[in-house]
Amino acid sequence: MEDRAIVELYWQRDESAVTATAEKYGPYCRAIAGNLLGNREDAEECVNDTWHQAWQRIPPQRPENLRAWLGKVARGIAINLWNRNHAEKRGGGMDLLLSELEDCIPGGAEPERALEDAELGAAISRWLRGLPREERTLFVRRYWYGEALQDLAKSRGVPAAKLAQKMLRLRRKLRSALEKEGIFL
Amino acid sequence: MNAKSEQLYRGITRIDDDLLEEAEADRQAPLAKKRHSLRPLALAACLLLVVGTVLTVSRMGLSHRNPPAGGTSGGGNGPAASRPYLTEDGVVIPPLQASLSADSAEAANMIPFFIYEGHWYVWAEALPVGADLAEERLGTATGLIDEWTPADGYVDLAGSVEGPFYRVKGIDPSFMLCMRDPSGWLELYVNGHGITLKTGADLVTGRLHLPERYAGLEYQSWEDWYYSTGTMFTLKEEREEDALAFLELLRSGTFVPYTGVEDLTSLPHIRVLLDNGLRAHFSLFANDTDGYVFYYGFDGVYLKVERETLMNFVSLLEQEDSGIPAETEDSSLTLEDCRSDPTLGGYLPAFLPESLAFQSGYIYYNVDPETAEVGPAERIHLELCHASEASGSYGAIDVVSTEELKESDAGVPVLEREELSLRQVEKYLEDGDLDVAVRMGDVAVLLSSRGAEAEDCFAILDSLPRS
Repeated sequence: MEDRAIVELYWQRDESAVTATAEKYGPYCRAIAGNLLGNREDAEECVNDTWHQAWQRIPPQRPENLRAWLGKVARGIAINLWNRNHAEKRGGGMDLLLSELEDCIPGGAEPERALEDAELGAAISRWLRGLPREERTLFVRRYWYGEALQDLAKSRGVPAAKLAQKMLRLRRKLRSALEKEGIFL
Repeated sequence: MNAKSEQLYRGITRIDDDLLEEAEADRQAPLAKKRHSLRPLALAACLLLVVGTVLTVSRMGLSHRNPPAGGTSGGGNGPAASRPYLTEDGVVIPPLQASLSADSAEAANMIPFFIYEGHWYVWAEALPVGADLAEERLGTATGLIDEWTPADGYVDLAGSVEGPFYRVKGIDPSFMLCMRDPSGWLELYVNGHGITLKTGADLVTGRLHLPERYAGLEYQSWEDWYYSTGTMFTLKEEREEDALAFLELLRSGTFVPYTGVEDLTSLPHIRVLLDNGLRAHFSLFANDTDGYVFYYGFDGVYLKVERETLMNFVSLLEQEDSGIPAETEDSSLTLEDCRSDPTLGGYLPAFLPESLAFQSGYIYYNVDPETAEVGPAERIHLELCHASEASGSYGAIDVVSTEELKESDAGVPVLEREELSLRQVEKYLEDGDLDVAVRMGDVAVLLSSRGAEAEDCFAILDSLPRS
């Protein structure tokens, strides 16, 4: 079913919207949640919450890109689930991913105001567009889709150690770019 | 938890949609292969291999097989036949089935596999150049199913890889076969579907012939494995009894579906070495109640073992005096390794600028299809990128025969070594992109660069040998 038709079902408050969403984007959202949470039970909870959020938010929202919209909702739920369920125990992809992202934190004075997620997202988007396609897709696949380094390395036919070096360079580049824009967290 | 990391995570969540679509397209592309290798997938017949997840109905008429009455599934939301499930006879790992789809939203991975005598052999492990385990050639995998595949669904020898495959020395071909990769590595393929596994003996004794064939044990921490640091240890000979006790622990374990197994802590990775040169790769896990072992060859199942014994073995491995550093295996070579190749190494440029510094190197060999023996190099490939973080320039150098260049890179302008000049390079540089080859007799050197200056590209090519 076309995305537009699925969104229309939400607007008509037709519950088959959720079924259609799950059929089309279930594996996609499950993959993202699985990558980040590393735990089937949490991943399923994340996916179910994503459908619930979709039902709650559409309308008034009318996402133009339903797949991307659902993925973002799933990521937001994933970090909350991870915080809630794993206060003591850490594990799964989220652990490593957040640890790696520490390399991207710009240095400098404390910000005068809290930066909106959307502002930060826009700045990161600008930086990504300045990268060669290869590096851009690698960064997004690792830090948005949460794919494991080993899997990315296999997809590129390179050793994971070499890819880890490249990812470290990319994280440092992001840090420099954020500092140049005067963005501090 | 670092709040700033989390803030970055949330910021990354909000990046523009078109960037996500670009990365999604990249994810859905088949596994990257080296530049010279396999034919590209036909868009009209994109064969997806879905392992351990929901299977779609095959257009070829292959049917699902349902578990027998009374069988229990391992849990999960997909059809029971798609996941390993528990029966009185053990865990059934269902057969894999083809899903033909030109446009699928499935987050499926294209895993290297081929079909032989009705069994699906899926990539499990690779052994480095020098592994001499290939015996009798049994057939040739032909690659993807295409429009000529008969409607009755006969798909023997089809798969996502193509090339000859061989019996593995000392191993039953119904369990494992191998292929030689052009890099010289020996790729192992395991028939791990359409089978029933009850205890560890089905694997350890029945398929790997352990402990009789035991020749050693290597191990590395989960972190070293994940980041491919290359840090690995060989268990000391005086610890052989402990290794054999570990094999006995595996042998006495019980196979279980992985669905429903929760809260696992990742533990070291183990490679058990066999006397024929084969090695069996296991990863270890534990939760509060049990130990679990995953064998790289059997998807969707764990070997459930006694926790305390497993943790005692893990503790042993963590002791400094238990092992000695093992030689690292890296399919990527140094520049010096590449220069040392007797066939093509002498054709590499003597100079590489900072904008296109050496990053990694690969050598691809001529492999005898009948014997899987590795012959002389037929291509050297170097990955290049800017030495610092100041620029995004990157590129590659390939040294190949001129015949190979005609086949793999037709359309790339070819210059004779004697006619090379900066002006020639500038002529072919477009929007920061350059693809040009220099011929030296029967050998050609192809330079591809993105974002590098013409002068740097010329300096590389001008440092090629003159005779």
